[in-house]
Amino acid sequence: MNIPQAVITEAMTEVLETMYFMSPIYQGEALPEIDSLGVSVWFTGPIRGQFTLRVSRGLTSRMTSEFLACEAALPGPGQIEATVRELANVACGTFMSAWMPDENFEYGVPVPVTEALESFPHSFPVGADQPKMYLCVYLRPPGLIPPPFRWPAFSGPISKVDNGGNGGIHA
Amino acid sequence: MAASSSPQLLQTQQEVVVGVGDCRTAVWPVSALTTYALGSCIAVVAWDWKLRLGELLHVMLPDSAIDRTASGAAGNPFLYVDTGVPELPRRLEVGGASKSRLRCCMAGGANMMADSASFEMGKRNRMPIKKAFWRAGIFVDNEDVGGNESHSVRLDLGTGQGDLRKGTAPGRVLAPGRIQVFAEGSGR
Amino acid sequence: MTVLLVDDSPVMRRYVARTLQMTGLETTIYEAKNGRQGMETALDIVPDLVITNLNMPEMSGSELIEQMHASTQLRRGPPKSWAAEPSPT
Repeated sequence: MNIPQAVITEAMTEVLETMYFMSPIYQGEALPEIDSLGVSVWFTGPIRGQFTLRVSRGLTSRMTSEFLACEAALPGPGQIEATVRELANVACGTFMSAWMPDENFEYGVPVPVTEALESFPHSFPVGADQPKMYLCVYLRPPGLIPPPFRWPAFSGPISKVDNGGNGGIHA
Repeated sequence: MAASSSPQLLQTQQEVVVGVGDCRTAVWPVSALTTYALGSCIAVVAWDWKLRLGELLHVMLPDSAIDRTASGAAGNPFLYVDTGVPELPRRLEVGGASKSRLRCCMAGGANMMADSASFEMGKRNRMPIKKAFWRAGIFVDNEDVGGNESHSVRLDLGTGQGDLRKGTAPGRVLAPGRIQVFAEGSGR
Repeated sequence: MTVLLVDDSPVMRRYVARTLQMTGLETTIYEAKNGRQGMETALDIVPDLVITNLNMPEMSGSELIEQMHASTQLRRGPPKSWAAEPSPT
């Protein structure tokens, strides 16, 4: 099944402009850089598939600093990876909603990509002199079982923690 | 015109016109801040509802790197988004405004060139402005950016209403003067 | 206003917290990294507003919402009314 270029471009533009203040340009097929961060989001519904992003390492730092409104040198590796996972999460949902607006899908949690590098059909240079972002959407054949989609259901009631303070982080 | 470090707060009863590459701050009973013929330029408007203090910035280009002096300063910081927009909240705070009370909007950024794919100056101005406001921690409540007609913008300092006029079309309200605040005792 | 943010992603918690602060509301923001911690915190602070992710470890957002609805401790009557216009004078 072909992924419509206009739909993927519009989805990526919406996400990158709204959350990261970047304007991508569609370029077409490209081989990602070796030093890039890859994340996948599985989806299931009328069709089953895997939405995979690879982002060049240099671009990930800049994206994180824009997202968190901090200097580019400050984000740590954990924050950078978390930012790219959120990008994949939101971009997948935005694209699927735009591509098949009348269908319902379930989405898995973003997971690191472990497959070997291969050519991606859609690439988005962000600025003429910036490292690139690469995008691929796979449609897995039926019968191939994806990784666990959801965390196991929680069982049992929760009672107040009697530790003299709240159990969460006070921001 | 080089920017002064402390903005002149206009307080006499008159309407103030803001030109290209300029930024003016005024407080009620000055009636309004206005700018005309925006073209690809963008007008950024901010208003403190409690003080009825407003500011209008008419910015032309996204990046001041082309206009740096030997000391590194931009010739006119209000011509450029990267130097002009960060000045806006600073100048307002000098006038006593509070970030939490600011209502902001932007308009303009029309594509005035026939070869629209080549320039898109309006779009190139819009993204840096949104980014600058995000970094400054200020919401842009409303925007009307794009198209291919020149805009004019008027901020009524008494009500906070922003009027937008495109080309020769009748004006429309960009930022309504009636804004929402939270009831007493509800956390605000 | 007391706000509870529940998300397993620390960057999303920070992003949402910053957005809330930009609204100008006087907020006290608490965070939790999963539904279980969110429920424990909610029982402790009784928030005015909860913003939660759905797909999380150790209890999803949907399960958190169900548990909160079922809790008599967290039910405090009808929601508050927020909107009022300022007087221009």
